[in-house]
Amino acid sequence: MIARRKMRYLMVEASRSLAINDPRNTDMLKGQLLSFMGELPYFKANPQVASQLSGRVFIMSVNRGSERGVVLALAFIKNIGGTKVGFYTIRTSGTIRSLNDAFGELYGACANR
Amino acid sequence: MRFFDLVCFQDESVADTGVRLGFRKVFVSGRDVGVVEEYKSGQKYRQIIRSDDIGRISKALRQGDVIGMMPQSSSVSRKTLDTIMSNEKALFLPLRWVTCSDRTARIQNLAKARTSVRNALVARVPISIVSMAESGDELISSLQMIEVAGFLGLERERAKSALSLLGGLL
Repeated sequence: MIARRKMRYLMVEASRSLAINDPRNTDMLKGQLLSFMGELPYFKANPQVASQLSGRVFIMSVNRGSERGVVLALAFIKNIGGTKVGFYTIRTSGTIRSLNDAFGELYGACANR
Repeated sequence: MRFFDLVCFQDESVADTGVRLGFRKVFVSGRDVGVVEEYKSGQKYRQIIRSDDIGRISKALRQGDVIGMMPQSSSVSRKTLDTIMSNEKALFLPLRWVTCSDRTARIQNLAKARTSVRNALVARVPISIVSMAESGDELISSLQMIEVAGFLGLERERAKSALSLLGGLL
């Protein structure tokens, strides 16, 4: 029987519009996370971009138990590819659905920005 | 628990952004509280003394409208902490020191911040954690501030208290 992966999802807002689905931006973000977390904690966390909810908000998936390390590392990342940007971890949850609901509540009419 | 932050820039979106980041209110330096190097009487708001000069700090902390002290560049000495404690004020730690420095300075700043936290805990001085962000890019959420505070040596419950102290003082 294959062991089911246990994930934790983070809703992250960037301080400016960022096409996080662009592989270049994703690679740069992951590179920065690797730099701040270190190899072993990074591979244990295995952070991935799960979906982009708006121009500035996206969801990251992290292996459960390692989300605090990723939240901490995101606080230190202040530029992507030479562009100044900050990342705010808004919420964490065990399901993407609850983060989608929270996104609707928090961003409301601005959801499509 | 309600969390508060202190920033150094004025922007109409700071209030809305602060709510999303998990803060009850985001105070602005220069509007809600003055972060000054030397005490100025007759100001309309409370003041935080930002200095490393023990003489200036001692003089300022005796004033009723000064709520605490923030180190400027070095870690906080035991003598300064004793002065803060005797005047029943608070120590304000700017997280911008550690999150927004370049790689070389960050290592030193982290060491200074950890030393300050450790000394403050030993001296039983109330600690308040603030971001002191100078732009939207330097802001961090309350979740992240709790993690950074934990990284500097504060337990989780203490870190939450440090984030909510500013609201009680203002």
